[in-house]
Amino acid sequence: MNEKLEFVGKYGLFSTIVVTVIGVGVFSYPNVMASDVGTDGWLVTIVAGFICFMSLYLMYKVVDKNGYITLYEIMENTVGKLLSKILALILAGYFIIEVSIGMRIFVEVIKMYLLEQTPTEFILVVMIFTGLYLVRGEITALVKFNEISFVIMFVPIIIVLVFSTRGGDISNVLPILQHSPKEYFSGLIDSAYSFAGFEIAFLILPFMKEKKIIKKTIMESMIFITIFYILVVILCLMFFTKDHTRDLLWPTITLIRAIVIPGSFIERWEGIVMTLWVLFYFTTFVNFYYFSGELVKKAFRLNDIKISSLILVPIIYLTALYPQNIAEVYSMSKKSTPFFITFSFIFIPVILLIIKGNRKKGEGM
Amino acid sequence: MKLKKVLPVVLCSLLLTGCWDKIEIDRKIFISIIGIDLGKDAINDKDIKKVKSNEPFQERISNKKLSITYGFPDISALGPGNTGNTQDKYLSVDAASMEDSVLKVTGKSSRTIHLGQTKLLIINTGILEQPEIFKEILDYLERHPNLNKMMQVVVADGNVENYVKYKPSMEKSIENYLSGLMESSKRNATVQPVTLNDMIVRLDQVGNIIIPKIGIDKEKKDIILSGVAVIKNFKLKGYLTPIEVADLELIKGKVNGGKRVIYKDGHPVDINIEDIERKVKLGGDKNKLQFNIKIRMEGQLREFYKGKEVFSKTELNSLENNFSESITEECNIIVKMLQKEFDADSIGLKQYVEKYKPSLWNEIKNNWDEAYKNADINVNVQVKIRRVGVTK
Repeated sequence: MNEKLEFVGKYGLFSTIVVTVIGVGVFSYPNVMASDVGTDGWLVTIVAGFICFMSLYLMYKVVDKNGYITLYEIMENTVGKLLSKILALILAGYFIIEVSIGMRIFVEVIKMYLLEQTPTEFILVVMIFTGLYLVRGEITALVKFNEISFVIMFVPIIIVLVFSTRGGDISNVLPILQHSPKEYFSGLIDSAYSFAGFEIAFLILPFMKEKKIIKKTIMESMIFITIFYILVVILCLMFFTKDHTRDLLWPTITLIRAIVIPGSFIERWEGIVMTLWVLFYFTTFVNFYYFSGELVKKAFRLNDIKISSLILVPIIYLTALYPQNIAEVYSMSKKSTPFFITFSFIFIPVILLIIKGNRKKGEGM
Repeated sequence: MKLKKVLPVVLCSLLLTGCWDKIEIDRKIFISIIGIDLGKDAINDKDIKKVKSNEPFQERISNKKLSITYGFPDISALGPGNTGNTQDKYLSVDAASMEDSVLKVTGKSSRTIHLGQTKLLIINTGILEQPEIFKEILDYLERHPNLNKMMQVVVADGNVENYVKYKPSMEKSIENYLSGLMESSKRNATVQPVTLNDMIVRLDQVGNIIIPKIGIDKEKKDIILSGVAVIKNFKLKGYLTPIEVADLELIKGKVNGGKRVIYKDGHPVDINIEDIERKVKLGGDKNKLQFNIKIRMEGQLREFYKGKEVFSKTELNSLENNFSESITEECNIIVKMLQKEFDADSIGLKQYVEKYKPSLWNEIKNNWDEAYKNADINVNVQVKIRRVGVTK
């Protein structure tokens, strides 16, 4: 490995996990929760956050037990060459589908609020090439970018969300625990899906400077994400009630647009919303993109991520253009969700841990 | 050397990309008021129902279902030198739908329409008589990504165009005038302003809402707030006068400020309401709901009669009792009226049951309307006069 530099600090890991997980999903998350479990979205979020933390912890254990080598090397060591190629490609495929669906949603919203006449294809191309440019800067650039964007993203949005508490009614969060177990289960799946992206830990962990702080940092990042999601869900419920949140495709955008500050020294928040929208999507996109580029590079034994990421460009472009309309985008993502999250959250870490454990016993270590 | 490499890239990005969304600001109309009126063909829509959805040339069914007036400030009058003194202008079209009207207005004017700055939506009462049309309009307003969701909504009697044309004496434009009017009526705790967002949310959540109603005072040629319109299931149920609204707001427990008066020995006694607390208690079972609404008001005595002293516990107590009884009676009448005549749960009892008694709600949610109509609702108001001013 040529880039085996241990350069990622505590903040680097924290910000990378947070900005990768929190993507454009946060803008539609309250809607998903309200449709599934009405007012209990925040409860489900806590449970989902905990489950995802367990999964992330397993991933950390996998990397830890294998002595901090990259995911592909771990897979090669444990399940053999052919199987690791297949697993890597499925994983890369999942990331690509994920970013492509996100990309399409991103473009649709940009077209609706900001660039009404600009062709979809053009926005796609610009976005993909910007991502490509960053990915070609290698992992050091990526982590630095995450560190910077974390501040740019979360300072404004938290200020904005504080303003949006005005005019809401906190009692709209009631009643709690009034749904059937089946509804909670589907809510849990959808909620867990919103946490997708913490697999990025596989990419980052091998580059950690200090190994001791990892456990604490991944916990902190998951807590941060959970609290942020809960905040957004509760604010939307307060402001729109569960009945209207069900109707809105992107409640968070509508929420921010509806902010009125007394004295109206700032009106019309669209500009701010759209800036955040671009940033939230872009960070998710480049991190996933880098990870899948990395997997493809290893699987096909390419010597540089610059080549593998270039190969992925047309795939992302075409997948993003494939759905006919926004409704199809969401139904596509809903169909592929359960398979992919079971695969990457549970299957990969568990299988790697189990096989590794058996090997160790067999070798008598 | 480096410059030679960079320069073509910079030039390329400058020359080869284009901006699809370029609109100069002076080519835009910033709509400030939307007025929606029923058009000529609103009532007889039998022909439309016969049209099949796959027939050709459906655009030709140019029915004049709606008559929509757009008011906008004349920004061409603004410029260096003359600041902020613009007259409102307006454009009026007949259209089959809201989107149709936007296109027709664009066709009539030399500029493109921008709805993101709209401050006021005036709905003609006729629209509220036609739930189907009202639903079409609501869906448009809800779906539109760029519409200002915080615009205020009022209901108006008579031709909406007259309101858009109206030149108030105090403010430059009607939207400022009306929002100011409602802001001050909020302080009197009578008619509360309603935003588009409120309207959409309330209609989704509880299915009913009260919207301020404006009318034209014929003698003085003034626009006045004449009360509120009660809407249920997208249909107009009736009107309440400002005094009745004040009681309703009281029952909702959302009043801040406002005054109350009783007459004692022929003299008015005024108190200012300073604080209010509402408690709802629910008794009975699913067959017969019993709501007990307890309201505790605190106030300050503002006016009595010179020569009479109120600075004693008994005197104040008797005043308090008079106030309490009078307001309790009023509130109970209003509640009965809403319950029996309007059949609309404007107090928000439905939300109360749903939020705080979820198991009971699950039993009655399918026939809530029935349960509400049969429910016993008792309002009990207690007035406390805490301060009496600086004289005895």
